[in-house]
Amino acid sequence: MELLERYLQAVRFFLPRHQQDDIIRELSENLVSEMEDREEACGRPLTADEEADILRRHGHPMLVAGRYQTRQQLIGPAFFPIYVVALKMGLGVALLVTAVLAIVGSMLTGDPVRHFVEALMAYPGRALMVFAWTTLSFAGLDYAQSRLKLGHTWDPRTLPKLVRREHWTSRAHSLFELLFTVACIAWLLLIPGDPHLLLGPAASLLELAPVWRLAYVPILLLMAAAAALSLTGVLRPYWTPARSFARIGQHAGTLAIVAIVHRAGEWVVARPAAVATDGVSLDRLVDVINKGCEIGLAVTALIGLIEIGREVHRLRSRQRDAIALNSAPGGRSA
Amino acid sequence: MATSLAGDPAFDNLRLELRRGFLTVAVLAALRTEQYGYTLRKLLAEHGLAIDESTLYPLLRRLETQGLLVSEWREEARRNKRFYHISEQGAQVLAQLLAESRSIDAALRGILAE
Repeated sequence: MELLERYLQAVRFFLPRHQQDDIIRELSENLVSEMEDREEACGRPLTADEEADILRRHGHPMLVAGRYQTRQQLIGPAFFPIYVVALKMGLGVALLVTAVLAIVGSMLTGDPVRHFVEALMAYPGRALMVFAWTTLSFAGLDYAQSRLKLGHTWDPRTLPKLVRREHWTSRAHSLFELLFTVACIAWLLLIPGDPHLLLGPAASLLELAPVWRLAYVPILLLMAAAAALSLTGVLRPYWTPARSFARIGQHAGTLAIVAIVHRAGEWVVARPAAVATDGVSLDRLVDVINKGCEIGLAVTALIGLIEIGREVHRLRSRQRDAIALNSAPGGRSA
Repeated sequence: MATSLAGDPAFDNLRLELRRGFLTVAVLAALRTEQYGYTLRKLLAEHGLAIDESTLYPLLRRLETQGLLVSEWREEARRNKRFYHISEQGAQVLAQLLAESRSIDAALRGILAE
């Protein structure tokens, strides 16, 4: 019976303190009864192996003790699938942010490889934070749901309107757009303090024309609006008329800024007292870069016009679909 | 003749789910006569409802916490044992569960007969 005592001691270790005596007393009686029953059937005392066999079948002490306790879970089955999706998205975003920071950071330092590797090493810590906060948030949500019985109070009439599959957008695309825009905003914010970020080595010879001072804040505001629109695409991944109008507004704003900037005629000027080396003519360098800027502005304007055309087409197609849906028997508006 | 699927994980899970509810009903039914843990397990096994000790004993305590069973420590064969029997509330619940079980059985028979 020494083996039984050892087994009970091990089970006791995993039990809640206030239940230990009661459960162990009952468990002991049941196991002793079973062993005595077996001895009676065999007509002899049980061997150590036979005793061990009974205890082994009864189960591992930790699992046996666990079954006496109330079932607890941090995130219930209702929320678990959404939790897994949120966790995957969070870890993906953390990876993208880490990669962007590593690339941008390594471009700004003298030792890009070392900086890149160091920045990537930050990912496990970042991923752990994402895991902890996502888990805590969903545990809180699950707790609130169980307390407030949210499942009983929802109204199906508050569901989003019917959206045709072709009007859905890629969440991954919106997310990438958001991260890219945020990275661009960060880059734009750094440029006034470090013109090398825009002009590279030529920053010692050239500087931006005064027109950029005028356009700087509108460009930043436009980028912030673009980031907000991308965020909307992540949260509500389908086209709506309001979103199309906002996009048209954003591209119209881009065209207006391009027009203002273009009217200036020069976008880069030579620094006062700057002298070109290696036989390069400074005026020629300024001309070449300004020509490049002009082409860049024209391409930006063209892209803006194409995007406005796409949004107008999208709006018209939605209107046609809505009319078709409403005219169909039992049709619903999209 | 249908091949036995015992050992197939998907089948075993479904069987476990199906048996879980019935085992509770069986325990309540068996405890219309007073039993202690080990004899109850033997009784269920004799009727073809074998159940692990590590499942049965915690189940007894849960049913007691829910007020469906009552227990008392009493001496038998010179040893103290905890005897369980069904409570008044447990008897009412058992009657309703049996009615529910008959209703499910009738519904299934109807579906299978189609």
